[in-house]
Amino acid sequence: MLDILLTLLRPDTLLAMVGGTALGVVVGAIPGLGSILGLSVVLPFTFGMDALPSIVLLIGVYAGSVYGGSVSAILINMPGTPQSAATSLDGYPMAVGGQPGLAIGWATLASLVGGTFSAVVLMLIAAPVATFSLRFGPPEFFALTLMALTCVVAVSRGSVIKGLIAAVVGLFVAVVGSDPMTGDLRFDFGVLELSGGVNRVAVLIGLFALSEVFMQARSVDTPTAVDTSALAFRLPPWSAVAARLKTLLKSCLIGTGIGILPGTGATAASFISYVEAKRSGRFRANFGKGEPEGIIASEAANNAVTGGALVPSLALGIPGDAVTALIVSLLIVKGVQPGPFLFMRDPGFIHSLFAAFIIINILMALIGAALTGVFARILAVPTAILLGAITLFSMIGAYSLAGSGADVITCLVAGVVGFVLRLAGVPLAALAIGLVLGPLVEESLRQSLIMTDGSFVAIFLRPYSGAVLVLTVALLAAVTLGNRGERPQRTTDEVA
Amino acid sequence: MARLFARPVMRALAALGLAVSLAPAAHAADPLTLIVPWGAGGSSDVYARTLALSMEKTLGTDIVILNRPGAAGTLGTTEVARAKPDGNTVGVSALAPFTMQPHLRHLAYDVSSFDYICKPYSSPMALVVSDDSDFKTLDDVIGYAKAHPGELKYGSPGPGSLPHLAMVELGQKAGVEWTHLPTQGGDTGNVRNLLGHHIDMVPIQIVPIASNPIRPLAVFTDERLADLPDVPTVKELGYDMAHVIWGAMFAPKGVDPARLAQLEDACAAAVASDEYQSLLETVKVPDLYTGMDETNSFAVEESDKFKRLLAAAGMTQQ
Amino acid sequence: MSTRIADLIFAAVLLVVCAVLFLETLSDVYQRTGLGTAYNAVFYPRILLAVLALLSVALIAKALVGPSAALRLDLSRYALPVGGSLVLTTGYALFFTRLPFVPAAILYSAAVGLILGYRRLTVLAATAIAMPLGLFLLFESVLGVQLP
Repeated sequence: MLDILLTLLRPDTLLAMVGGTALGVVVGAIPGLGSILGLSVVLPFTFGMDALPSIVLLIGVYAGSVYGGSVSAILINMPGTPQSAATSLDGYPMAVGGQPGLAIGWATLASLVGGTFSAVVLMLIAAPVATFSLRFGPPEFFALTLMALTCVVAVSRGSVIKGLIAAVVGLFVAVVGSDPMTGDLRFDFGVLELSGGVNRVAVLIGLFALSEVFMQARSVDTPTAVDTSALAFRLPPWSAVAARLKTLLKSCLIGTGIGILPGTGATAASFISYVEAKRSGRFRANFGKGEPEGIIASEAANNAVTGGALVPSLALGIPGDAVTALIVSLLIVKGVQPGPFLFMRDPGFIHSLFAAFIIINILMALIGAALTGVFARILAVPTAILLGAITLFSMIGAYSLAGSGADVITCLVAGVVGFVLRLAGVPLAALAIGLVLGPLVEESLRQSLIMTDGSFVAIFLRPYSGAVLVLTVALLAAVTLGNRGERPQRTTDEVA
Repeated sequence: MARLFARPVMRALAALGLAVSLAPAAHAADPLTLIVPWGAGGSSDVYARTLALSMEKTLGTDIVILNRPGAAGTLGTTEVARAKPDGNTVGVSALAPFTMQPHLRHLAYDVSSFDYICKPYSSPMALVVSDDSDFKTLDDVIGYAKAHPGELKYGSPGPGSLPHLAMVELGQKAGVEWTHLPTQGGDTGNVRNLLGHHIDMVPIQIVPIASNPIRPLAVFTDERLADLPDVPTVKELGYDMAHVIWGAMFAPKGVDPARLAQLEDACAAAVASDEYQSLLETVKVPDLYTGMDETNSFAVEESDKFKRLLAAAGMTQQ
Repeated sequence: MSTRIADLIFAAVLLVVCAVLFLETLSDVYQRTGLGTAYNAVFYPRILLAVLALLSVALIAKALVGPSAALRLDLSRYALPVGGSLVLTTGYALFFTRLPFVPAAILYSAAVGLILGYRRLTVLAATAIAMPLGLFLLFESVLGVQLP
């Protein structure tokens, strides 16, 4: 144990942890930058570093960026990363309600607990769980995506039909480009930039950030009163946490579980967890109006995904998403071959990694607390100036994805469409879910149909896909019943 | 309000002043721009960045690496094709964007739009099955496939990818039918499906073989590999074919031959450098470097071969 | 205008979009292999389009049967700030890659501030200049991302 701590206290490892986490929090908080850009920025630094510090650097950026996204989600209703989209549902109302510092406090606490929880899980069950997840093939993934899509019903306040419409539109946007099964170009209308598909991150930036600019432009002359005393970082009192402990733990479990399954990712996890909390949480009546339980559900789950996603990456060398894929490829370049053998041959390395992961989560909370004051001042900036800044950030964010003007235009179109959809009362979160899940839905469905010779029924005649389907139906029923209690309301300023 | 912004403004102005005063020094020689039509951290990117380490020293200029991912590598490759042929913009990529994609979609370039300066890497592929599979040799697989047409499923990273085309060609040469199940996510996604028995076999690169419970049946290279000395080549098993995932550094046509030669020398030196050789060792890629003349003709050969195979797979657009 | 009319317009637009996209799936390019099976490129998009069309019809039905409320659209108040920022942002996005970042961004932020009714000119000028510069330095030197 002691030697593990000593390796972690080496100056280069320590610097990598602190630097990586701090950079991650900042990149995460700036909308459009996100985990991948943060990792790309630090990647060149790792070429001259040893395996442990370089991997710790990447994990720091990864965990930090997932947490950082919540900061802008709460303060300006603009999720810094898609993973935090669900956080804005309650975080932003809470900030507008005068308690931005406390809202970030909740997010920080939940992220810390979620991340640490998943690190412990990672340590205990990495190898066996990773092996089990292998039994999930295309049919099981299709069933899982159906389950994730039930979230749409839950986030559609007001009109479920419009929510479903938004989700299908999202799924369709993901269809544009090269067909994953035959390679044919679809719906590219002869435009080279479209032949690679619509850049999903650019769409998300436009949908959430840019449309917010146009929404706010309508009410710009109403002065916003900000109570500066509430800007300071504040942790919630223990009694308030204790009352929401069940949701906190459940969200950790949901996040870790989804993280272990490849392909689904933190965005889906935070929505599923949010929905579950909205269904069963003690304070479910207040959801959407600034209820801390909603923040906890989203943030604990998306940070728990980070540890969960490392399970298959390390134990099988099979990454669950683009971020862990980058980490795995770096490990290989560093001469560390992830896979079952890694646990037998190099347990010291693995244990150091686990310990570093926990330390990173603590650092993340400290850095977040320290930076809250700086971030929160954004709220004191006059709206007229802030809106110009948001547009600039959105466009640079979209541009920096691939240095392409097409992504800037994609972002603009998504912003204008998002604005119109908001006016029409269509929940944008549903569109985002469809967009993010789209490729996996199509790929798993069509792979499944190839495996079953075209039978839709046969997809669910397997033990695990059948079980997931039953679970999905149960969840759907529960959510529908839960929604019935609420009075349908129509708000043109639907937050997401 | 004024106080809030005062400090950033001062800092920005100070930094700008610094940038302006440093500018002339940085422009002593034009930087070389390496366009990588794939994302940061992908395999082409890692090779390019490692090459750049040494080429910066040899050429004495800065090297800027631009990742221009999108549209299966064709966006960044188009950018190289359209760049001014002054020898300061070159691309680094694996083969698909210039040897395969021009057959698949309408593009502003084809294989003849570039000079291929060098071939810094050639990553071999092996056909693998899971350890608990009944197939011990390639003959087992082909025998079973002959008896059960269409039943065996093989994975690939996508339609038109090299593993896909290799299996199409192998199927043609052996006279068997098998089912293609493409999976996004590269070798790792396919190994996952293999271990979960969702597919029966898949051609992958060499690195994951040692660390996963999988068994190589044959390699697609011309000769046996030092890392897998006991694994036969497809060719010696009687199927006359070979595939390797090779990458090139390429410039738009029209660059001054002297500059091309200079870049070729720098590329050769970079491949011979310690950093690059240790990279090749860790990713288990043999050093099959070739210079400009050989790579140029190889690119054309490969392009013709893929045109034929893509047509056989029913994929060509033109 | 009422919410009923708004929903009807919305659903009608969706139906038209569905029809156009469905016509696109009939074009020759997609007809070569695996018609009607998972091996066909338009197999899955058509499923989505069918679902979308059904949902649009459901929305129409619901709008006709369900309750309606008046929509307040205070156009005279919104027209300048919303329209102005839409036009400015569209223009800026279209020419984003062709304009040098710093001057264009300075002009854009100043113009947006003015259109949105901000009148403290010194603050506006200071932020409009400082922010693009700061962003430029952050991206070019710290993050290593090249801006136009």
